[in-house]
Amino acid sequence: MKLFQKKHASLEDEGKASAWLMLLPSIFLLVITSVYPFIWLFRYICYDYNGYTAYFTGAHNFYHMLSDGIFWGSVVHTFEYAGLKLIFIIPVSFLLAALLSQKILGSSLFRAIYFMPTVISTAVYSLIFGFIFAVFNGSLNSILSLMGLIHSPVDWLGNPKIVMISIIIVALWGGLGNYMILFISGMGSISTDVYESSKIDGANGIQTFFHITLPMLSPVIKVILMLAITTAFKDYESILVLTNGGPNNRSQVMFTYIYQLIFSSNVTPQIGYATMLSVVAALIIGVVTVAYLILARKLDDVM
Amino acid sequence: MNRSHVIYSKGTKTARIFIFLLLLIIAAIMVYPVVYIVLGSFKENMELLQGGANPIPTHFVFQNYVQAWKQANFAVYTQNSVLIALGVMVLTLFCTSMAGYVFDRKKFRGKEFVYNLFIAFMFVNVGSIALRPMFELAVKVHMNQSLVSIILIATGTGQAMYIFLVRGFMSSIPKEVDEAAKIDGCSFFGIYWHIVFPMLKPILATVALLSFRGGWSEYIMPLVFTMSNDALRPLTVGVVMLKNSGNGAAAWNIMFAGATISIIPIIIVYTFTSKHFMEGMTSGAVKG
Amino acid sequence: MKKQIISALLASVMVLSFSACSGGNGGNAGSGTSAGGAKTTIEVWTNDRHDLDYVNSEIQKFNSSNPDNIQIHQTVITDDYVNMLSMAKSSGTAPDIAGISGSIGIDMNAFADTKMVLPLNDYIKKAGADFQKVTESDDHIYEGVNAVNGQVYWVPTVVRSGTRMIYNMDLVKKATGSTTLPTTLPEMVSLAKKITQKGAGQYYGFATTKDAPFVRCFEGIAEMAGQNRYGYDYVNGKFDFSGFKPIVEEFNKLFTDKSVLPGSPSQGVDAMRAQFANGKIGIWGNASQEAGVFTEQFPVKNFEWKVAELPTMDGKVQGALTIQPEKGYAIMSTTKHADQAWKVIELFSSKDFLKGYLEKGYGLPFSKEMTAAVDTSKTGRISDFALKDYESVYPAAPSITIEGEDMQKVLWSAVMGQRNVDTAIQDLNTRYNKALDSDVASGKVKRLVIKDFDPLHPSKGTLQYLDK
Repeated sequence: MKLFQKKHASLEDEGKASAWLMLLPSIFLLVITSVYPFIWLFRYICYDYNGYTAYFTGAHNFYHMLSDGIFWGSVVHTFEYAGLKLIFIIPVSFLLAALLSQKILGSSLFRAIYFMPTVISTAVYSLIFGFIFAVFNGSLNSILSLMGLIHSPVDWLGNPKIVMISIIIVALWGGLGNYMILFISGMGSISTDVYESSKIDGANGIQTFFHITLPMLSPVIKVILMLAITTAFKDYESILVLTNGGPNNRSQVMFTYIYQLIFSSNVTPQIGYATMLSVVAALIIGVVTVAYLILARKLDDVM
Repeated sequence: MNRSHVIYSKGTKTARIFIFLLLLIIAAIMVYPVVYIVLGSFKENMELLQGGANPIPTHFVFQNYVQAWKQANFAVYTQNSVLIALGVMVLTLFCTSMAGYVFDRKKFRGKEFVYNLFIAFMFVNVGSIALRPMFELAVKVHMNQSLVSIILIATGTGQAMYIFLVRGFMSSIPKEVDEAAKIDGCSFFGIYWHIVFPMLKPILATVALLSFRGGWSEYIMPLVFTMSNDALRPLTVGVVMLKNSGNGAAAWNIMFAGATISIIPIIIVYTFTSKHFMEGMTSGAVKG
Repeated sequence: MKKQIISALLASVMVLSFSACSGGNGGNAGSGTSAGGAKTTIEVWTNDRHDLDYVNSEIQKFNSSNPDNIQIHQTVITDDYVNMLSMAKSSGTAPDIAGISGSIGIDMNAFADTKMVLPLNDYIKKAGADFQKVTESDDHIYEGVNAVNGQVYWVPTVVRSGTRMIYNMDLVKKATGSTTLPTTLPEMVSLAKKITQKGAGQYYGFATTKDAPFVRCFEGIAEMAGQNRYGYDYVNGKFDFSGFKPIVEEFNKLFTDKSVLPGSPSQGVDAMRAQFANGKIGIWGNASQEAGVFTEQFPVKNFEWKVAELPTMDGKVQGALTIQPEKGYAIMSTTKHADQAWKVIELFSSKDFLKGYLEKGYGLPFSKEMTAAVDTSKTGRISDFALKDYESVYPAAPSITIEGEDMQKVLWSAVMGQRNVDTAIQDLNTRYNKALDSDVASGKVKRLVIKDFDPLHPSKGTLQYLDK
């Protein structure tokens, strides 16, 4: 036993260098694509920067942020969007994954169909949903009224009460396949033997699901959930194309607002202020993630 | 039994039919916008823009494809997209499989710090604003005119998620497997290469598929990085540019045709990887 | 130092790169713009795609025949053009010349202040009489648009008309029994209502979009009522939006009357053009580019359409209507071939080039010489949009950093009835003037004052830039 431990320890030492070496490519990429841009942000946080010249304004950006109603509105909408998206996308994609890893007629075709939307770039499919959501003679409205489900055309993107739902529909369509694939691959890691034995024990489908699938998948689910949370809070490209934050800022989320501050052609770019908001947005998402991680650990203890 | 039974069920016939119908309805919803694109790509621009319930063109305009192919330099765009997506995929597999393995199996000082750094920067997303410093950096090292910088950045911004996936999967592989190899005299890297990498196959198939997809559909970043060189643009950028026309109405039908062309290769890739992906699944991954 | 380390790392990773990556590299090298021998390649950026067939063929002719061995390489960038330009400049990858139009929203003052582009005055002086005749460049000097403080940065070669109203005459006749078109805004609003009532859900009187064209006719009508589109009081050097009130109130009626095509405020311009061409919209406002749209892109077949001047508030024109000078080229300050670049600009500003360009209907002529040279029988309906004598270009108001929503968003939501017009205007006055004061104080912009400003001849006044 002692001998074994000794050998073990020397291997650990030898492994240390190779461990770092093996981490190096990832760390390098992390530095250039995440750490460096983040540090760069702080360069302009106290400036009014229009892309050409930077003017020092001290804490002005900070005070502006505190009193910026549109920004805080966008924070609320971000939570609303992320919450609604997660509530639907996680259970549905999980259910689909569970069904499609069964022996079902055409399951591989279904998988391909559900995954298909995710290969189309967000910019393109959002433009296409713009067509589908058109009010007058729009494709969706025409179909719904043919089916007798609506009597007057629905203003999918222009009605402040509906716009969030429309955006969520697009997000679900574009993201469902993604999470389904992740869940399926997680389920693939569960050994078939486990199921064989549960079958022998005479467990039915529902029991198998709750007593074997779910607990065995919980580490994978936790990771996927975290991914889903961070992604949901960061989505903006599709909203930008569909509504550009409208009507009257009803669908404005943090990152659409920040994007407009940098790239809007109507007004002078406010890059300095946008960096301020980017940092705050990052903090907000950070708090959410940490809260989730703590919650997940608590759940672990319970389980 | 060659499939994993996530929900093991003897399944009454009616239940199966019900499930099948449900899947069919969802499939119809999922497929509709794609059908809309494909059929729309054969329409006249005006017919396309007028809308209506009927997605089928009154007459098929094949000219849209000719124009999209000619106007948009599609052969070059397709080649660029494939190179970017392949590059991202290979680099991602390489980086994340090693990182996921190290993070799960190794204990050393600084690991937690680095790991937390990855977590931290998963949520510190500064969006499009980060493009500016990265572009300036690429210019400084004279890499702004090359697909390599696009590949590196696309890999870098996506890798955290895959590292977590690999790590999560890794933790479900019993430690005894590599312990045994260690006793057999395998080095840390040797274990990774000979033992762990093959066992990671199911999750790596997923990572391959998703990262290829990620590289394929990257839009804003390549838009910025290829702005001064049309010959480096990927399909995503080329397709959206097809629509814009400065003055006058945009050629939406041409864009639809371009979008259709851009979907085809990735569907082929999906069909290809999904086979491997299934193999990985059916092999049971870990025979405990 | 930090960057050096990073670049060293980057380089080492490149060496260790994958075959796929080096493949990408190879593809790149093959496609680069290789200039062989003594040839000079002039890189041109443009954000116009609609005229590409013609421009490309002219470039090809030039490349194969010009005596100076100049090769023009043109890149089309239609997304975020201005941002791309400034980013390319700051990173040293800018083109030699950049196509510029009045409508793309370049902040010329910032471009000039930061020396992004070179002044062209010397070149213009040397260019001679022909250049002057074709472009009338000495008359087309618009402060903040193509010139700053007397330095000219680009010379427009064509022009886009001010906004016009386009009427579906069949619907007008059906609704009113006559073909008389409205001359005042209230008349137009009531016509829209009549058309909508007649349409009973099949067609509507008016349509907007989620962006530009609606704003254009709204702003145009305001301008002709004496309220310029910047909301800037040139005489006193401050912002004053109060002149927008009656126009907002009148436009709001379109919405309360339900005369607007449902959903059009959340749709793109092209969908609305298609609906107009399909006979679903009675009144549509936009500028000269619609001539090509309704004859070639979405040819109107089943009804007669007529182009009319914008309605006024009370029958009198009290201010100039903005036109957009277009298709000019600026030389980027980073170019190593400024003289050759100018030769390329001369090509794009030559009579032969422009005659062909204008006869394709891509724009309206901007000089007497070219107006006379163009064979109008070839240009189609664009002659309906010919310039009016009350059309001109306003000096750009100081581009300030506004906190909160910009004027277009605020006025638009007031038009839609989402907020009260008085509070909206008051809010704009407060915020815009506060931003102007603080930006002037910090030296970011100068206060533009034109004591003898005449709204009917906005480009003729005496400019003054104040530091406070």
